[in-house]
Amino acid sequence: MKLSSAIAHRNIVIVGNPNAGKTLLFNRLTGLQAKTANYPGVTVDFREATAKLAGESFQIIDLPGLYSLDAISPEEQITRDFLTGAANAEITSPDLVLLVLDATNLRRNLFLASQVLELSLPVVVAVNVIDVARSRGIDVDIDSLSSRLQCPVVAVSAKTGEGIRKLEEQLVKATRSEELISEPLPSCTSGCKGCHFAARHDWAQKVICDSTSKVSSTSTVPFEMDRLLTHPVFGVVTFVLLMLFVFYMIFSFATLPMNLIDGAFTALGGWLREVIPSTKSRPAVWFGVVMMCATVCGLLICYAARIRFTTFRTLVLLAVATTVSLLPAKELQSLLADGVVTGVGGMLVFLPQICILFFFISLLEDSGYMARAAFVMERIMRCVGLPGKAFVPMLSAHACAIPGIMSARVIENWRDRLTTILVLPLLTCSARLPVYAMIASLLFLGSAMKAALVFVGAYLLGITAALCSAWLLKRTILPGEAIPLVIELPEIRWPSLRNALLTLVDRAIIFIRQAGTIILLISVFLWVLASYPQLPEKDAANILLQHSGENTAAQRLAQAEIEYSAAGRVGRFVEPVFAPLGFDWQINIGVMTSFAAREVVVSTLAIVYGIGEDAAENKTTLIETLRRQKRPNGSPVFTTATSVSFLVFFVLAMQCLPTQAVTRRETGSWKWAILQFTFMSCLAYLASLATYQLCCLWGLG
Amino acid sequence: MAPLSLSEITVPGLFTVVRVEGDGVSVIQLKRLGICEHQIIELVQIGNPAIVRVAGSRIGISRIVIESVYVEPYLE
Ligand SMILES: Nc1nc2c(ncn2[C@@H]2O[C@H](COP(=O)(O)OP(=O)(O)O)[C@@H](O)[C@H]2O)c(=O)[nH]1
Ligand SMILES: [Mg+2]
Repeated sequence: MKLSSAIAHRNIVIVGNPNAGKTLLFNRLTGLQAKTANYPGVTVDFREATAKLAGESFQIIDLPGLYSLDAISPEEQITRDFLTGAANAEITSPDLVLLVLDATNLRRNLFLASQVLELSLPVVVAVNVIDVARSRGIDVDIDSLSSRLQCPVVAVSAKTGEGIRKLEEQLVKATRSEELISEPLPSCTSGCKGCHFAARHDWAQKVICDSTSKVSSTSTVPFEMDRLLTHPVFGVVTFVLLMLFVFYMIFSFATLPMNLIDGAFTALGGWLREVIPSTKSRPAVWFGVVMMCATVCGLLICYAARIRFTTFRTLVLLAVATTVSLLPAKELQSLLADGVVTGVGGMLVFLPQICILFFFISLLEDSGYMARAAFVMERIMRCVGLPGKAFVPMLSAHACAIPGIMSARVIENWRDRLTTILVLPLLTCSARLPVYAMIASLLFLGSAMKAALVFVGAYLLGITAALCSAWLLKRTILPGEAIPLVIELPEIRWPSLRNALLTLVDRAIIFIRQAGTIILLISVFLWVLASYPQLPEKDAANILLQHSGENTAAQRLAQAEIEYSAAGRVGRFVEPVFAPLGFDWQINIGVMTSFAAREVVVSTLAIVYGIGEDAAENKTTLIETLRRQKRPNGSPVFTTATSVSFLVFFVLAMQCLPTQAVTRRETGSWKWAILQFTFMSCLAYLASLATYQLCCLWGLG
Repeated sequence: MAPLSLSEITVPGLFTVVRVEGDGVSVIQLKRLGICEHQIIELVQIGNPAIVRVAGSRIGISRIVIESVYVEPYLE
């Protein structure tokens, strides 16, 4: 978290009930320069930006919404910390509080106001959504409200921009002149014996009576619609239809940009191979140039990852840069093309899906629909101990676990969110489909019906595993009172397209930063594992000689190289571990490399069984070759038992480093990412073991 | 008539809250949203979760939570 800049300028924090329009108002005041920051520990977003109001610079912070200062969730706790300046030395208490009240819901909003006004902080009140209030015939008497609350009050509409000018002036005035800042409001609970909640509600009711008048009643159309949306049956149907629509949009609109990104990275890899000379003609110049590029890249990565420089880190950076510049030309080519570009590209391919998903999620949240979705899904999801809101991340995870995990932020409760994040990668993401397709055709080539059953079975296995794991987690390591649903159903409003686009950009930047930093490092590491130690020149020459004249010579060499590398050795080494699952050492190499990203398993198998990259695209060749493979004793490798066991393993195993990195980011510690990895690997291993042994018992081995 | 738990009510309508039992997160949540002593609430939709209108807005609440809310019919 970087709030040091906040000290330089006077800071304004925006506080208000959820849905009062804080974010929209924040965007109005700050324009497009907001940064999303993270609170340490749990991932709770707040956005901050420097803005010029009436010519003066302010640091403006948009805090999570809250209903009262009782702070019963981590998000509310943070807002409270900001207001009281407590708990964290980095947080100075604010110079000014901008309290946003929703004019269409003043009665509820005033409850929070009664608490905030007692804090002896300077407050300016913005009565927002005045446009809707006016159209409903709600008339808010600003002057009388101002005298009741004893602070400046401005009527604004964050949507139309009405009153924003005036609000800016008031904000500047309030920070400038001390005398304008009123005495803290005498507590409305003083002298009252009952619960302070009742006293505050009574106070709010009185203020409302004095300062607003309502001419006509609200229209009943939204209520009729609401009845449908919250209906136990129609509500669920509507929700499922809406989600289907969103997924249809994701898959139909994302395909083209995904292909483009994929193509761009393939082209970039090819271009790098061409541009980088394969021999060093002038070693000194080479060293200098590469050294400089490597250092600059390193600095950029550190900057993007917000790593501070220490002597040790600088030395590490220089050492890495030196190693890279000393690499032989061919290996540098391979590092950049096969390691960096393939790895980062493999993650960035999912960017379009993420953008589209967050665009729709933001629209649904803004419109107030998400609360209804949580409401109708509540009872169904509660059966496994998850809140209704967990449904959206679970559906998203069927496209890709990463947006699923990122969208788990809609769940406020930290334990619930953590449980959801931990089980999400069990759901079938699109990267598993090539593997399913391979196994389906291995088992039932030519029978579309049976092949379809493989897919359905794999999906069901994933869903069952996720729900059961959630249930189990809730009863073991993440216990604690299951927080039952108490949710405000905000009025259905037209969502703001601007907000949705800003959310999209925000999420995209987070994602790209991740791909450019941690994924980059991991890709390089895996490249090293699969490339070193290198096959001695002599052996390589031998292989080429043996197969000279055959057009498979290059493939034979690739096969020998991967067998000789660390990854290949590990594959051999773990043979006894995976033998009970029916895997031979070549499959093991596939399993090992696919721990970085599962979709590589198909091409890895193609390499280790010596078919070559191009043939992997051609499914029939691959399947035919896989079927022909024999074990040393002459029996086929891919029996039904091995195939099914392999499938089960890929359904359940955590084989996606990008997901792990995102889990780490969203949970704030590697601890949860490691737990997720361990638990899913164990689950995959045991399930696979059981499958194989059972299949063998039934004579399918 | 003795106060009834809100979860026992079978006909939607207006009610006065007599007391909210227990403490803990859910109860604080109820109270700050306006479901506390002497406040008038409207049960809009029965079920689990149920919908209650209070202080001008509608709130979805799990059955387990409204069990601790005791109400009397509101008489004008
Ligand atoms: N008509 C209208 N809608 C608004 C106004 N301010 C916010 N909204 C809408 O209210 C919803 C919630 O706004 P948001 O800024 O996300 O609220 P937050 O939860 O307080 O950050 C969104 O759909 C906004 O578009 C306003 O002044 N007028
Ligand atoms: Mg917001």
